Amino acid sequence: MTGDSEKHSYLRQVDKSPAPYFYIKTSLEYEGRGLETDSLQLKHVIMQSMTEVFGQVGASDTVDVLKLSASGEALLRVPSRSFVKLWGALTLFGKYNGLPCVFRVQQVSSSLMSLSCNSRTWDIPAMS
Amino acid sequence: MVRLKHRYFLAEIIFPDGRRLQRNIKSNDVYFSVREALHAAYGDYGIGVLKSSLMVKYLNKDTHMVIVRAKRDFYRLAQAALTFVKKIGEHDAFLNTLHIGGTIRACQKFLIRHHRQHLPLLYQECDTQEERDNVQLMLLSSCVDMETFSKKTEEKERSLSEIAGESLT
Amino acid sequence: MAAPFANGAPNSKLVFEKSSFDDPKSSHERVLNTKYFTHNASIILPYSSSAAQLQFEISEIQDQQVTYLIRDVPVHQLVDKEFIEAFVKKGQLYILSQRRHIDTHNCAAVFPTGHLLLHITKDTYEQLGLEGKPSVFSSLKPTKYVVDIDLKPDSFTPGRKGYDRVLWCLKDRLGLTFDLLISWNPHDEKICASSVSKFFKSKGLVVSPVPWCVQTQWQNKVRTPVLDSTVVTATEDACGRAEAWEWLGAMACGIDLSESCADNYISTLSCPTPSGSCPRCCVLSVSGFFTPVTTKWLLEKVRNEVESKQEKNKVPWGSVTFHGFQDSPVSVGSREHGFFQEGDNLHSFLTFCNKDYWLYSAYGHHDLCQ
Repeated sequence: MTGDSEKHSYLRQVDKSPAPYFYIKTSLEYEGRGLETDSLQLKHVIMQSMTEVFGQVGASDTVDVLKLSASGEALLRVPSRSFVKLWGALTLFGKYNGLPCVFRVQQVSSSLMSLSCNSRTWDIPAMS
Repeated sequence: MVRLKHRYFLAEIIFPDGRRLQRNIKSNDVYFSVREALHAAYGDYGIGVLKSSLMVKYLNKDTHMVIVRAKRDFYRLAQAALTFVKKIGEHDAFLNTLHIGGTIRACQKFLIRHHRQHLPLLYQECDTQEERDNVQLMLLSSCVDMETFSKKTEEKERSLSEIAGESLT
Repeated sequence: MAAPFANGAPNSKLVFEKSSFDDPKSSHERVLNTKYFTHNASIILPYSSSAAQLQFEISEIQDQQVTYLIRDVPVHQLVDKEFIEAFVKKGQLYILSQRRHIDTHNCAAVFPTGHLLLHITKDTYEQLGLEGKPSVFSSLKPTKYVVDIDLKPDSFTPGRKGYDRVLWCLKDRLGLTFDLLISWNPHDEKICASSVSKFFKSKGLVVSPVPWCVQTQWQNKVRTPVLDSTVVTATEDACGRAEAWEWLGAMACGIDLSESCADNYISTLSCPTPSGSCPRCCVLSVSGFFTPVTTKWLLEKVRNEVESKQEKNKVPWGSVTFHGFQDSPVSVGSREHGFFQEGDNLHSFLTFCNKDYWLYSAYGHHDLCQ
């Protein structure tokens, strides 16, 4: 299809099978006060939540913490076969070191690009 | 009506010290060790889907054979969990799965065949003449059983072929 | 794997196209013209000089279109005969309801083709009494219905049975109101695009202009993948399309891919190889309500930036991504769009200096993709 001899080679490829990775935008909130979280701790919390619900076999897939912004929003990457498991584990997670806490999933997507903006949370600023 | 289907695992408890002794194991001990292994490997999810069906159906304290039951839909979880068992009761032990069957009957049949095949091995392990005689006797009786069994099947086949021959002519 | 864990990940679609802007059959114009509603555009430009500057003023974006937000518009205003004659027939009208979730709320949209689309819940549909179709993504029991009203035909006028029925249903049977985002592009250049706001103001509605907001980030010393417009699957000399797509996403989200952060425990994502060093990279993101007029202008600017022959501002390739609204009832053209876990509909152009381009179109699970 990629005939190099042609001047303009056109190529079209469609990926309909589940994407290799899924990306989740989430934040970890503690009850009452916002607690400092660093990416190392966050990763530990996520692995703990996976082990609790799905055991060592469920937690064997790699969950990447791609980014942790100052506002506490984290970007996670997970192979799509354990995407639902991770989402479920995050939802069921409720306590870390005895402190009640909750994961809020803001956005999920199969392409990292679409997590760069969210039209659902778009707050139209007043025109100055 | 749809029958709730199960899988039965026939497993042999192996003790790392390698001695064939009668040990004080209860079927509850086996159940809890399998459940613990399942929890470690598959977490709350594994317990949730299998707890209703997980059961130790048979435990032979002399031969250390167990039959464990699990729901068919998730039997692979149980199968994996059986390999992760490290301790039963207070003994270090692990499980060697010999057979997976759809009914207890199938497992029993397999167990009998398995024991028959392993009688010669037992004979080698015998120390006293008395034991040897005992095993020899058992070997003989199993051979007689086998003979009658094979005779029966031969007869059956013959009668079947006769019927087939008649129908052909 | 032995364990039968269910894999319920949604089936999202990614369409990749490789073509050239010079190709007469190139679809980039068609794609942009039929992508009616764009929420955000993110531009990524890796410059080969550390003193590079953008060659265009992003603030010129305001000259392309004006957008208004009108609060609590009764939906029968949109089938008002005066409104249809003055705006629907005399220009390209883009209307989208705001702050309504497509999977649970009522939504409305008007396209430049002159169609009013009501994407409504089952309860509203049964009260409304207009003919519609169940949403294509619904299961056996539909929860959402789509009512499509063509505003343009001459027969759609007061006194005719069809018009009177629609007006009665929308006005007297149901008091549907929406917060609407409106942008109008008149055919006649002498008419000011802002007259649409005057019309609604005269009806006693609150009209406010919608600003666009821009975020520009200059990053120094970035690792960029080596790309070749003819190499689609990764080889030793160039990265493939999949690696490039992930890298672009990482840049747009502001993920640090530098060597110092490549800690295997926290994240295994790293810059694809082979990679080169880029002294200065511009990541620009504009959000607002954009119509094809603006998106085409933005693509033009990015192309100029990449194709310009200036040594100082050399860019090997550049990318511009148009994110559609997650709650828009259509993605491209009249293809129905829904929201299931995600509502992606985005188009990303990766343009090369030889006028070739790669187009990534990503759609969510609920989207009719060809």
